[in-house]
Amino acid sequence: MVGVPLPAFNLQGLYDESQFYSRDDLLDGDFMLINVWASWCAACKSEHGFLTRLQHQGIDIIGLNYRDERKPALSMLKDLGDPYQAIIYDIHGSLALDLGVIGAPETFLISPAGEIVHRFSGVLDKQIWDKQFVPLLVGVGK
Amino acid sequence: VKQLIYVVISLVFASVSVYAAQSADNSVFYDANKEIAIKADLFEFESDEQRQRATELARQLRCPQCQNQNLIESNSPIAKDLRLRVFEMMKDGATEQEVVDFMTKRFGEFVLYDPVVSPKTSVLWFLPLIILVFAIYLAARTVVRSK
Repeated sequence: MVGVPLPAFNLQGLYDESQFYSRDDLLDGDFMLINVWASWCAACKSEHGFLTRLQHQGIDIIGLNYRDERKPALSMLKDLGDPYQAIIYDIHGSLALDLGVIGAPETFLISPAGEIVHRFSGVLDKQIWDKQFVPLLVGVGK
Repeated sequence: VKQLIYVVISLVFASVSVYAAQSADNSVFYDANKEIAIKADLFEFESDEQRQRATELARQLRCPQCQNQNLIESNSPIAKDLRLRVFEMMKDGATEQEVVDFMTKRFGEFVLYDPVVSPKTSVLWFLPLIILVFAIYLAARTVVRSK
């Protein structure tokens, strides 16, 4: 699913059940990451610190909470902090299925035009970020 | 004495398993996917022929999260989701090729038990043949030499 537009969706937010996010709500004309995570995913916890660093660098990160439950998900964010600009609550994994997610964590890079430009499966760290993501961001001044 | 040891061991084992069962945090492993699994299990097709075709197709697609189980065999949540998706697509009149394309677009050719012949998969398809020819050559040479 690289080189194609981000699929359409309409899913609840993690914090607020009454808030729904769609594709167009989240695209803001800038590069963004979609990070697939869950509270049951130990590797996601080890990735969390690096995501927080990216957030401080001004990278927009959308969380895709994958087949999780609200309570443990929220308590994980309370313990480790929340690096996400918005969090989609994908309890049934429907958007994840459309993205071809096979496990957590996974991270997608979305272009300003809303196209999926890169996909990384596994724990994101500085080395992988510099090697696989940064070259794709060049030209936008980020 | 032996019997006593057995009794003690089994008592310890029983109490440990009771404790483990009680302390298991069900909230973490709650199966939010149950509805979908039930839907896939009770899926109503328009005809037996359609059911057969859809089931056969799902059997030919590998579960992307598993080592080597197809969408019918595997009980993983993703396999159940995809099984339901395959059934729905077939019921809506999708061709088998459309379903296969849907799957490979998302999860890659890994899901195919019979990968298409392409430059990328040529080694996979032709290496066994090359090895066979080479083996026949070696065998023939050995026989000729021993004469």
